[in-house]
Amino acid sequence: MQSHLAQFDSKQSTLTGAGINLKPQHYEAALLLADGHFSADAGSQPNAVSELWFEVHTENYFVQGGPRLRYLQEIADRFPLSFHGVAGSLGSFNEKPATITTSHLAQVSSLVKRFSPVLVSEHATWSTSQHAYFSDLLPLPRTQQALNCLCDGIDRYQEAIGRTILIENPTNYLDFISEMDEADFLMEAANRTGAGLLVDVNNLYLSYRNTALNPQQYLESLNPAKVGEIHIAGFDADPNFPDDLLIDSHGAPVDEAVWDLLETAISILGPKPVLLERDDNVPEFSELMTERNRAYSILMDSSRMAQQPQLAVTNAS
Amino acid sequence: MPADHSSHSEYLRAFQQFMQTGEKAQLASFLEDSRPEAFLSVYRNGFIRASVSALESNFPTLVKLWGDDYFAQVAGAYVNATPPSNATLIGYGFENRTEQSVDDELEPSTLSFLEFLQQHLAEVLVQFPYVPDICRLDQAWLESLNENGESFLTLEVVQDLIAQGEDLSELPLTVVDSSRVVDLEFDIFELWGQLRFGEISEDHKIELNPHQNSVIFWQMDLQVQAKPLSAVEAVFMKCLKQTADIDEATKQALAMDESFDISTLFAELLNAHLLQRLQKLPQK
Repeated sequence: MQSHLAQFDSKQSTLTGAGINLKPQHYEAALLLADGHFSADAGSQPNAVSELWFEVHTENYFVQGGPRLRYLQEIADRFPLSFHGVAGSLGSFNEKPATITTSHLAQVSSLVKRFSPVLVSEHATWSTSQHAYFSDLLPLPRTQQALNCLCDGIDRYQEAIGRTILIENPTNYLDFISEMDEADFLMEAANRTGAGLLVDVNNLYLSYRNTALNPQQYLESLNPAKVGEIHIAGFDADPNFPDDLLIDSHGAPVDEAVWDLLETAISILGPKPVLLERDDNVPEFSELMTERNRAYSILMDSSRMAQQPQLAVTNAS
Repeated sequence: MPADHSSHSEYLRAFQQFMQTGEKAQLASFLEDSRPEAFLSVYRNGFIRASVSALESNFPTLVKLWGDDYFAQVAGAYVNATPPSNATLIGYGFENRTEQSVDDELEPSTLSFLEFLQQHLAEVLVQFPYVPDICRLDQAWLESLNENGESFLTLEVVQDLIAQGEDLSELPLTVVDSSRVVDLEFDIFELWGQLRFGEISEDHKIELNPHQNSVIFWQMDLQVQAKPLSAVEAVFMKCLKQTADIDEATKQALAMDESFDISTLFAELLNAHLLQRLQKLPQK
């Protein structure tokens, strides 16, 4: 489908800094922060709100009204907002019966119009087939057919909401039959559809540990201008295969190895807005702010390094 | 017949079969490497865990009644029998859901969680005969919370209408979108509230006699309100919701109870923000 939407270019994105995925139990804490109430906890210092933003799972707001939407409006009035869809099933779009319903797209579109999020994202995965929604992000084989299907899904989604989206890399637990590398697969999808990329560094790390994917090579294959956002999160060992499989649980603090990979990603891609994800074993808001602030410091350090004049190195004759 | 590994549709079907049955032979043929097929379980486990978690959120009082482990066991069986068919888990397991296809046609909902219990755990429901009531109360509460609670008729608007010479009985008035009337078979409403909101312990012994009664939930000031309804009030409210015709609803109520007083009830409904003016008449 020939899209009339402009290609995503990260230079034109206004989102900066670091954010947290927002949970209902933290609505009040987030609003207090915006209104200038800080506690002595490490996580909420006066500079804590500098370039702070929030992300929500789009489908959690598929309601007609009530406190959930009201809180989201109050947050959106005070902070930049990003929408992160988890059920678009972009990678099974061409299946019959169709997997993305008009109703689903209409709800996303309505929320986007109402709240004007700075970024909208989804996943390069699938989750719905034959009227069954599998409430997980299922992998796509990296084949031309799968790529065509994914591109059709991205085109349909972008057309419905009237703007480009970012697509996120999956966590790999096994390798399926493939015709290309994942970085090439995602870049091709982005180039064909005008979408951008959301690089989930935790997913990248887990794919490295589970399937020996090379993160450095992967990051160097990406066009930095296409990358609009970075995610970080925690992981756990699979209880059934604790020595062999790490799962993308979003239920633990960010691992040191993922922090290291975040720094590598920023050094290769340049500073990008970074989001801390936590969906399980959710701690107090201040604890999440502490992690968020660490991500923010990494970004600030990277920006400072980039601004320092490069020393000319001359060989002594 | 071996799978066509170049076909994306065949891959999706093989994966779907695995997710729904655990049968992995076809899907395993799409694997490239020598990692154990058993690792595929991470996807199925993730799907079941997320779906069970949604059911725990949708039926929290039943979780308290049965305990986390037993509820998770029952919920897992429901997920296997009736996976979500809607790409959002809000309302997963609720009764009377309809799904909208890409062609905008409404399709009948799949088996609800309560229907699953009635069909597959009938012997458990003999021991807990009020479980259907608990399910319906949990559903009504959450549906009410997530509805639009901002459109309601106010006293000021009514006074303006009267001043303009409008006959209120001619206006299409109905109950607000967030309202839900729940018909119960046991006197469990108060106990449900105490259990749900932690006012009694989860091992509190429940002994109830059958007694048909009704409760209404609605949203006011972003909070869910609830009150028991008398039999005649329930008849009036259901008819008003269906017809948006106060005269008709009053007739039905009077047929049940000659002493029914619409003016008193109307004032109560107005004060409680339970009435709204319809823009379009409901389909007959």
